[in-house]
Amino acid sequence: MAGDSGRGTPGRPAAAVRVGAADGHTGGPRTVPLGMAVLLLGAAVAIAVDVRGYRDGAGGEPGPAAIPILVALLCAVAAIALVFQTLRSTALPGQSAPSVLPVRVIATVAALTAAGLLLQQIGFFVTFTGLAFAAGLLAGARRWWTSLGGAVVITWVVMIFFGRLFAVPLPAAPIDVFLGG
Amino acid sequence: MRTKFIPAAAACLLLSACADTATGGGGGAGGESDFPTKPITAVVAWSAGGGTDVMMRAFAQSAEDHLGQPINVVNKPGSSGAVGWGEIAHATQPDGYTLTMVSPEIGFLDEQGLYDFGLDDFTLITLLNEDPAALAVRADAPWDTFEEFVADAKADPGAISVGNSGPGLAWDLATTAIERSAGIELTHVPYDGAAASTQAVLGGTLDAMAFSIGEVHPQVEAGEMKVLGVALAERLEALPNVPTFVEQGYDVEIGTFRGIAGPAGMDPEIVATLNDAFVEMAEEDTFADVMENNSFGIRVMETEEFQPFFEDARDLYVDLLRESE
Amino acid sequence: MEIFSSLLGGFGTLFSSPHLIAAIAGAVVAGMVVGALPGLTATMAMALFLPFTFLMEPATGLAVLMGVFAGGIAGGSVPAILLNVPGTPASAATLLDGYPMTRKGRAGEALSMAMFASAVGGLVSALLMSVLAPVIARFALNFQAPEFFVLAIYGLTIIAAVAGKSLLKGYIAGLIGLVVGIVGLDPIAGQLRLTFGSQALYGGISLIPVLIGVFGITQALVMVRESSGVTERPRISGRTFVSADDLRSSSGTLVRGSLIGSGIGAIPGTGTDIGAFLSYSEARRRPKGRIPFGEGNPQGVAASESANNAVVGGSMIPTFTLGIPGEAGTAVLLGGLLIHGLMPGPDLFTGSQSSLVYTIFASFIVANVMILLLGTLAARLFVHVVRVPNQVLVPVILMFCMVGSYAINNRIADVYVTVVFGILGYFMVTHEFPVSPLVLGLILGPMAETNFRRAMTITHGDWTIFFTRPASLVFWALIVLSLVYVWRSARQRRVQEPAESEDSPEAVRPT
Repeated sequence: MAGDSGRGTPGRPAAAVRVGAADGHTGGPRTVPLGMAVLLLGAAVAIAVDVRGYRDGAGGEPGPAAIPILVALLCAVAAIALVFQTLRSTALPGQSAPSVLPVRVIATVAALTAAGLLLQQIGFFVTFTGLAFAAGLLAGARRWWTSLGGAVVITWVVMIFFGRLFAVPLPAAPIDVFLGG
Repeated sequence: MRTKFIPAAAACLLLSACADTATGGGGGAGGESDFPTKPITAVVAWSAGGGTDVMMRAFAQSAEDHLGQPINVVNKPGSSGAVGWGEIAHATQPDGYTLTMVSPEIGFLDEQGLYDFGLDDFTLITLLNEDPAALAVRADAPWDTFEEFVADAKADPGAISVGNSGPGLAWDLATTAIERSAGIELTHVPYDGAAASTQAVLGGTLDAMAFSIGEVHPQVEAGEMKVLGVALAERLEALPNVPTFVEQGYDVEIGTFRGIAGPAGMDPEIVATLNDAFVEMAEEDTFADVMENNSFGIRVMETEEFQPFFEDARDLYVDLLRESE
Repeated sequence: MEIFSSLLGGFGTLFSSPHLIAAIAGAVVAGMVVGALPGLTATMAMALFLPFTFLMEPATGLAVLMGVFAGGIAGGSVPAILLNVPGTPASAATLLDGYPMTRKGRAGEALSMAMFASAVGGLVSALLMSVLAPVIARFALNFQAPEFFVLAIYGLTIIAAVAGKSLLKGYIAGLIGLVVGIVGLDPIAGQLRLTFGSQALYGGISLIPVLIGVFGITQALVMVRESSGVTERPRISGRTFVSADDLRSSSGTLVRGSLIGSGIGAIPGTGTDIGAFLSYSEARRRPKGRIPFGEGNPQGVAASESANNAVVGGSMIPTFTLGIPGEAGTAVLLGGLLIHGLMPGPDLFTGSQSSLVYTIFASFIVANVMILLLGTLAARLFVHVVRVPNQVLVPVILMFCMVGSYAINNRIADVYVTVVFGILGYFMVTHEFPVSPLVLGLILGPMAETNFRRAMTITHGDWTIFFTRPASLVFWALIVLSLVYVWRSARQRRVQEPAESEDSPEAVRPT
């Protein structure tokens, strides 16, 4: 298990690769497919590293390593095929296509990540009011106060609906308790 | 990664929920005489709709009247119970306001590295249920007694396949216990629970299954399956025609059980209050009816017996686990 | 025809007590609301409701459980069609054509088609269940580990049908799903795989958070991107009910979907999502009508929705006759049966309790009629959602996705999964990688592997078992047909549209 410390889970490199693609170029037509190829290769390598310690299958079954190895091979093949397909395809006119990563999308992703990290710390109500407010502005709201008002109302309704009716134990800070969550 | 978040979550929940009863420092050491003064949270470490969930909800509904406070059932499933129980074991105040329903798994899954907690991280309160393992086969199977089954298994070791709920889990180990007592070798086949296993036995791809007697009760009643033996000292009242392994000369006594517990270090006074309420509740018809209709066996055991009972069970399971590896 | 008189008796009981009808109506509405919210499932609502059935008359309690179940599956189609976000996994195939219909201003038609198809699927499965349950249950027992493996492989060939423009990109999405499916405790040998020491991953990455991410969060991000440029809002056509023409041309699809769904439902261990995808790919194989599949063909909605509700009825068959619940929803229902002292088995249909059983069947039929009535009524209201501006929709979608993914298991790790897959989904969708294959890979990959290894354990490594059983052979034949079809349509495409490879940016959407 020495070699896998930096690799993360199969899902994580996805985000890393994406964000990496994001800061350099604004998502050119080739960046993302090539990033996807890297992701697949990363998955293949992660599986190859991980299966080394697996136990053998008992009584004639192929064991826990067999299918992952097959999947890793397919990933590697698909990654190579994708690289070829992407490099061979004629470059798009490019200029007219809208950017895949405008500032708004990046900001929304940041807001989502922040909400996920803060949820446990500052409770449901503040986190989600903030998220809804930010998302409303990023999606083109013109008047910030209606957006904020809307965010407060919807967060409260969702909190009551999930917390009370469905007994979902939402992460609560004192303000959530005060508001009935 | 994850353990970092759980304490934070629990701390938040507790901070907000216990604002009115902050005893400061030694959780539970306060010895409140009027316990409970606020709603109790009952954590189910499995999904809604499963066996433990059904039992916990029936329990919560009946126990509320005896405690005078509502009991809110919360499902925290994931990673074979490690999520929900882990939270109780590591990140919950032992103040009696957060309880859970434990089963033998908490005693031995840390052996396999699946749990980072064990029996010592819990305060056991009351045992409510015990279901022995049963070896069940299709009604038209060639064996009528366990004796005949053993004879065939000895003739061709490994030829008979027995379904269980997953490698290293309770029913897999029950199969190992059966093998050990009879000196036979069986092929263990893991399924995603009793329903899938039943489907395989009725469909003829699987020869037998070792599960809780309650799981096969409907099929036995319907005449689709028969039980070659239950792993209990005496015959069950509900199924008086079903023989035990013991009476057939094989020393197999194993099964699963469920009881109420809290985090380690609970105040004995609070434990006693809860135990009295639960024991009283378990004697009532409303709880008994639900248990019976779901084919859950009732076995009530008070706090002082529950602890040694669980320790014995743990020793047996750990022993079987080491043997099967 | 004793069965029909029993069933009529069931209706008699039902209609003589207005409170029962009201209870079913309430349950259907509650189920639809829960089903429409991502993360809240019908199973969860049923489990929450189960304790209350302890206190109720058996007929009322069970009728309510059935109503919630049926309503929940139908309700999942509403956000799938309007917002491209499936409310439950069952509706993941519905959005393939449902959302394009909304983009073309046909939201009202798509919704009413979904409700109509749900009702048809439910009714067909209910009739099959009341008439043939014991026979079908026996037959479904032939479905064992080898068959599950072959069925899963067949299901994976569906990726080609939902891949969209590039087969390679479709398969890549499917592979990502397979990799995600490996994570966690291996169910056969108990080996931890790809968890890298994180206890949060022991149980694997579950389907619903991934589903909410790649559809819900992704959709919200796509909408945010739209609002940076010029937005054209989809209009709503005057039509609020599906046209007679569309109904007529979909009748074959509806019947096939209902039968496929009932059959899949009768096999314990499958589910509404698999039934819907199988039916969808089957419908695609017989292209009819002016609009191609994937671009807003009402038949796509009909295929998926008729099948997923038929699975609900079909899954009652093994539950009632053998006591084997196919999935979580029926497991709760079985709990409800047992609580009222009903023992599943053939005797249930003939013994002293049979009148109660037929009341339950009658309530399921009534619940499906309610779905048609209440659903189409609600559809008139719901279509206005497409007029709601992005600055309102985006926060609402994000909020429900985040809360929903938390609510499944009450844990924050699922929220992270949702966000990560939402971001991944956004990059996939904007570069013509379809996301449906990812979902299929995640559903079917573990099913294929587990059953392959389970069968090999039983046979001690003899792989001929996959080719010697009749039901497996049927699926192998279907796999061959499916691959031939993929190959032929790929060749046709190459001949037809060598120049048409560029696409307009607004066609971007999760498929």
